[in-house]
Amino acid sequence: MMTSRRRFLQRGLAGSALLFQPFLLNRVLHGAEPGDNKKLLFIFQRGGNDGLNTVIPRGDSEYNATTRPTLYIAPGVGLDLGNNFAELHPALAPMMSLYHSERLTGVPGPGNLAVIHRVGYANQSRSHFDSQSYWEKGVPRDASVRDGVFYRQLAQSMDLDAPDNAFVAAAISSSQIEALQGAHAIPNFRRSEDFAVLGDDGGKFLGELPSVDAPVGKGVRGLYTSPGSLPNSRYAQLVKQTGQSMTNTLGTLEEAVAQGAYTPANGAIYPDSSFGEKLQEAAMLMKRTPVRVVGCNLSGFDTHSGQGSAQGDHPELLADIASGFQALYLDLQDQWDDLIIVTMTEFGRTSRENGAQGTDHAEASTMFVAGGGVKGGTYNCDATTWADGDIFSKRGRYLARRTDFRAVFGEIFTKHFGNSTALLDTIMPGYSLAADDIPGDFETLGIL
Amino acid sequence: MKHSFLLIMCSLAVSKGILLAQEPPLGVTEIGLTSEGYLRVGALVPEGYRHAVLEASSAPASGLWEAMVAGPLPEDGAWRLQFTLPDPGAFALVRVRVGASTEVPLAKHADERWLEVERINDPKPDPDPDPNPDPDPNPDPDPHPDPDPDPDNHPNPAPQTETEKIGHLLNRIAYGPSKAAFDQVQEMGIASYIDSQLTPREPAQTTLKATDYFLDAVPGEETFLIEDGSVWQYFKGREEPPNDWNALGFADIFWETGRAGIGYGDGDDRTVLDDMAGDDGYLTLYARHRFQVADLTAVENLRLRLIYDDGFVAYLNGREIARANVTGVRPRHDQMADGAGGNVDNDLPMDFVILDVDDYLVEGENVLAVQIHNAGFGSSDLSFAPSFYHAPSPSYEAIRGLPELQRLVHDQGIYSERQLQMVLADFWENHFTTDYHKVVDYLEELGPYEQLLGNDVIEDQIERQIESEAAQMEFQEYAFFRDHALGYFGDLLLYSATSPSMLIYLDNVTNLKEQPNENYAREILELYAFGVDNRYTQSDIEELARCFTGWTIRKVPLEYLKPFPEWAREPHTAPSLEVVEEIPYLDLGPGWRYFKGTREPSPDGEEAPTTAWAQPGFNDAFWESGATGIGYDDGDDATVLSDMRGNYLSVYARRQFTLEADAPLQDLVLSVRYDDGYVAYLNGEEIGRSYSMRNYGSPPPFDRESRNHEADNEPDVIRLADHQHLLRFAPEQNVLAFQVHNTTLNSSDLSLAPRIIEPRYAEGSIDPTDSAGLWTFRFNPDEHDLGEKRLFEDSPHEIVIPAGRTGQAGVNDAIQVIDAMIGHPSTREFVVIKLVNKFVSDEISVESYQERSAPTALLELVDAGIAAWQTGPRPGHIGTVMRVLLDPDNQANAFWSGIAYRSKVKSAVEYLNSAVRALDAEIINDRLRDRNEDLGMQIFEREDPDGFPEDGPGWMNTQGLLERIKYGQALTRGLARSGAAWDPQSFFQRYQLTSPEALIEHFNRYFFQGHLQEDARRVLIDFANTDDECLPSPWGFQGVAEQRRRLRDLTALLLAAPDFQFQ
Repeated sequence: MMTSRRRFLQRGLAGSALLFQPFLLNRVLHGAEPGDNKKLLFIFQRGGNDGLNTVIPRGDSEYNATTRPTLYIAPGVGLDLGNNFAELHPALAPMMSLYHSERLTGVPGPGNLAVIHRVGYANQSRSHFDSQSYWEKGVPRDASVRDGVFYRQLAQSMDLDAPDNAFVAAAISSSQIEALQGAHAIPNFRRSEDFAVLGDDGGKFLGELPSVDAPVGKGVRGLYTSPGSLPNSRYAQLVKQTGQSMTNTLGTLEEAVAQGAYTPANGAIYPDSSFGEKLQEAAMLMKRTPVRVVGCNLSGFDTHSGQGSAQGDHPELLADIASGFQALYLDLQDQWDDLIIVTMTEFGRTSRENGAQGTDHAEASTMFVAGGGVKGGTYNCDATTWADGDIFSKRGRYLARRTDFRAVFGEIFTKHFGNSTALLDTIMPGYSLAADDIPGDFETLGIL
Repeated sequence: MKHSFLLIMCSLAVSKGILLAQEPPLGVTEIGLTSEGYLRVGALVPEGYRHAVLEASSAPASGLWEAMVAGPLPEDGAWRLQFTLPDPGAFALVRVRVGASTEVPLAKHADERWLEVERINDPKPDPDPDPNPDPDPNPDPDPHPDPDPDPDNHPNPAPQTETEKIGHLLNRIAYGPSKAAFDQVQEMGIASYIDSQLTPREPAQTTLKATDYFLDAVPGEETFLIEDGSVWQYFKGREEPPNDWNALGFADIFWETGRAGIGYGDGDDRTVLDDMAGDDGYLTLYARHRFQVADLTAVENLRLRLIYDDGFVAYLNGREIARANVTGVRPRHDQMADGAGGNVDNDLPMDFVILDVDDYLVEGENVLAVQIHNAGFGSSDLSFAPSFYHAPSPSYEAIRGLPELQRLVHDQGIYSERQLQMVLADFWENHFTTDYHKVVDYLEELGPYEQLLGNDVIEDQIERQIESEAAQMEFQEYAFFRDHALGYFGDLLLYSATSPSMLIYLDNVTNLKEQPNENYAREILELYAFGVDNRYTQSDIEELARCFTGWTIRKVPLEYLKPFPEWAREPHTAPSLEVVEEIPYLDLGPGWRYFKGTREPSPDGEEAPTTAWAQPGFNDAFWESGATGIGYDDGDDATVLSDMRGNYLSVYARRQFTLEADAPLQDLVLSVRYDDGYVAYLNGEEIGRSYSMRNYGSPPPFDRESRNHEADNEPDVIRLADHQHLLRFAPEQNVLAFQVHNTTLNSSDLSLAPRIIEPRYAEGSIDPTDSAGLWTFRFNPDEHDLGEKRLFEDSPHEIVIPAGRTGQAGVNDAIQVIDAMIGHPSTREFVVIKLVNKFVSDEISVESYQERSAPTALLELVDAGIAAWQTGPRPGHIGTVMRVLLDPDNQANAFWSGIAYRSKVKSAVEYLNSAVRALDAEIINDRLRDRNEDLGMQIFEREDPDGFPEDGPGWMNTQGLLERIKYGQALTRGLARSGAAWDPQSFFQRYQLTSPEALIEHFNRYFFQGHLQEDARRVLIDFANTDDECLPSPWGFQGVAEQRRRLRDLTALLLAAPDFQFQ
């Protein structure tokens, strides 16, 4: 984002004065724009999740004990998704409470969980790092795009320099998640409680922000806010923005933590894992701060060896996700209609098991989308969308995609956040070109 | 345009002169009262101002200010001002203004004696007698321009002064400047310093203490002079024993006798002193043990290993050798220990190293004598559990563990004179990243270790051994990268490919001919050599994975460890333990009874499984008879179960055998080939099971599905000697029994082929769990795909690997590709660009290089680096490339331009190491590695194979920045968590940093190269003039202690400054 210096100074100074009153940060955002109160929690499954052992295509006879000698989940062990074709991995059992939620239909059945199979993109990269980056930028193979896709969604809908928006998004992560990376530094942190400087004179050391009376701040804040304090270096803006975001975040989190120990609502129990802690942290922030987009990672999906079938490493990761979804569903009932939870992963894994009881990098995989407005059900995994043997439909090795991940994001951006369709080309550059190119990949699934 | 005035405001009402605020670019140097009671205010004024005025106000809110002192400023120069105000009176505040006009405002005191003006000749104390004045560090009127969209048009000036150049150089090829390093470069000259770093001639000087990192005795090789649990003579210290009680000749036959440990109260004593506490108690226990030494020259690394509580003194032949927690020469029997102490609570024995052994120990008889003191009569316990041993020194560097390895990396980075080599060592370690934890997991699941870990008694010891072996693998790899950091990239690549930790990390150890694993093949192309999608395809990955089939690891005895490159090019092909001959004791053949697992063979009343069927007394008359192997469909079965598939999942088999009394019991093993899982029983007791049946119950039910295992893998080996207590000798009979399970009812095969044999092993064999060996590369020809492979087809670099390279030659399939990579354009592009990213600038990538869209200076630099890569008979010499990148002779390339200078954000390790170096701090423990993790970097523990980012933005985020700031606080406060000790007083004295200004200037010169902006300087000065309540409180008025504290905290703030984030 390019801002003239004059404009920056005006905004910076006005903003600084407001920041002296941190309670303003907690003000509910008012406005006529659609989607103003809409929230998003995204979970990146790092390493490439094995979609075939997540949402099992029972109706495909090639999914069997020969193609997957140790990974194969036998009939009756998977969880029936009700379409006579697809099953969830048994470790995902806690997901079923969302899948069968009665909220929308009034009867048991597809509820608030969309189970989407065969998601990927054309000319799929099987490099972890490239493919993660493509998902997170919302654009495959375009090095000119540097901002994250969720960052751009936010930057399109609001002025990220405005002090009210200083904590509109956050990553629960020790390093920044690329999907939230942008010119304006979005906060990232491991735990709210630990986010503080050392010692008893933190007040002096951290210092004050500049005000109209004293246009240069003090202490750490002074070093990172005063207009002329930065070295004349490349990345000076990045360092400054990060410093400001850090000092703002210190204030916001201190207030959130000061509200006392967090007790999840409705008896929700988060998984006893570091991932569970992150999700609980996300829920706490959704309730106590103005945050609207939260991201976190779950790594370990690169299961080249010793993947595990019904039990083992991969099932434990799936169980973490499923119990997490269940806890969020209970805990965030008060904002369930405004919330979307979405999972993503850079690619799926080879349909045939390798020699180390694992799987290698492949193409399409699965996504879960949950939330009050989600039309639950199973997408792209039923007898009409899946021919027998489709698990080898790409090069005889991989499951071919049916849906581009940007189509799923697009539905979320337009129907949940209320962006115009025209804006999708800004949020995900090249969106309409890609959609014109392969219309089938971009057909709306209708999950919202 | 210059501003018309600047401010200092001083509150006189509070304490006659409190600094409130400053505006750039004015620096306040002094504010206080003279002995006459005059107010004195000092200030620094930069160029461009022509008058200065000191104003005062009794009611600043009113906006009314009175000019008290004013005077002109001469043209052209920066000035140091000193105002003196003879009548500060009742004014609440004073302020200083300066202006650009030559017209001096009217003031109460116009006499020039009240305003002294002194020219500041060189605001940056740069000794460089550069005739050209420093370029304006900030020529752009906008002090913080937005990132420039045109990469060729850079706002940064190039480093010009010597200060700038040295600072820049040390920020890049070293872990930042220290004062000493700065002076060293200044003395040597920049070109000579670079030269000394590129071709280090001196031995690697180091002040590091080897025992902080490396074991000085080989674990598992101990020779015990006194075993744990030996019998001791002891004397209850109700009175003082004779003076010579600890001498060799003392007659202790009337002392009591007991097995150690001796003590009471904590339940761990073999000899319990139940009379020690209480009314008739005693404080001290005396104990003696005689032992023999046959050969004094064999005694190396003599140690007393002890669990003790609360204190002790130990004597060898009457001379003290060790003590803890008791004071005084020959403490008396009624002396208490120095409070509660010892190591009994954590149950970990402590080793006391005995130096100068020759002075104490004699050949023949010796005596170890120990007096153990309690903390008091009311003490709840006393412990004494000694052993006395020696062990050989390792003939190689044996790392103590992961924490020590991580500490070593920091310490070398901070202290080594060979800075460039250490920076590159860490760079290559990160480039070829591996994960210690994956290695630990792999060893834990390795069959022989798995078997040992199942034994509760030795589980902890085995776990420690596994951890130290994993750390050793990581260390071996790191040490190679360090020692060859400036050598040939081809060596690094081949070493990494054959390094045990990499073979485990990216699953090449499980890359089998029938089921190739693509993981390593993909990443060597994507991450280690070519760069992502850089002239290779998915088909190349699959072909390369086939080349790598059969690559694995083994353990070797030290003397069989091959040096590199023979280690890779002429690898071991045999497994750790290669059986060359098997003398059968109970071979495959008849005599077995078996039962098809259509139901439990011996259910209890509840239909639950029991092991009755495996007991000697079980009646197996109704079972079928057969010969081993038993199974179907893999062609190796004497008894074929043609009806098994689809009908039953398990088979039970048993056989009687006799064991002659003279059987070579110590060498006999039960060797089991199986598919897919088994549990083995001897006389009804389980003696082993396959990993594929772990945690499936005892006994597993008949319909339990096994995990997968193929019979062509190496057989499981169970030592009969480990189950000696179950064995019966002839004429009694033993019963060997198995249950064998399939993965599914529909599985394609099943096998059971057990034999009792006496194996003879090949020379150079070693048990894989033997701690005396080291892990190395092994090429297993039996698992190598012999077919033809084609890579990089339709390119000038096409490689066709002919079919049929059998035996050891099969290793050349992959090595041929690795060797060819060095000459491939993708490798030189990728590696040279990554080096440029690390040392010069983030602003070029393989993509922008190939598109020629990167800044011109960087394109030219990469071109030159690639040309350097190609020089010489063997491409890829890193030192040659680095010399071109650093351009020591001309200092005129991109490295020395604005595109590089101060243009990178420090990574985590760069920040931490540079902070410790800046403060001359001393590393005292292994906590720095935890702080590195806080900052986002766990060296040796990264899960993803891409390594940590070498570019700046990846390191600049809110959590990372906060952790940097906290680290500066911890380091300056001397907290142990910082990993380092820092003595602020000696630091400040060493460099005469007696004021905030001097400290700031020190940092500005050595670490910011004079680029500290005035706003930042003002914030820092303000900080020094502020109290804990954030109220103004002038530095000059503070007592010594508070001044020191403020300097200390100011140091932390300097480390927190944006300027210190850059390199």
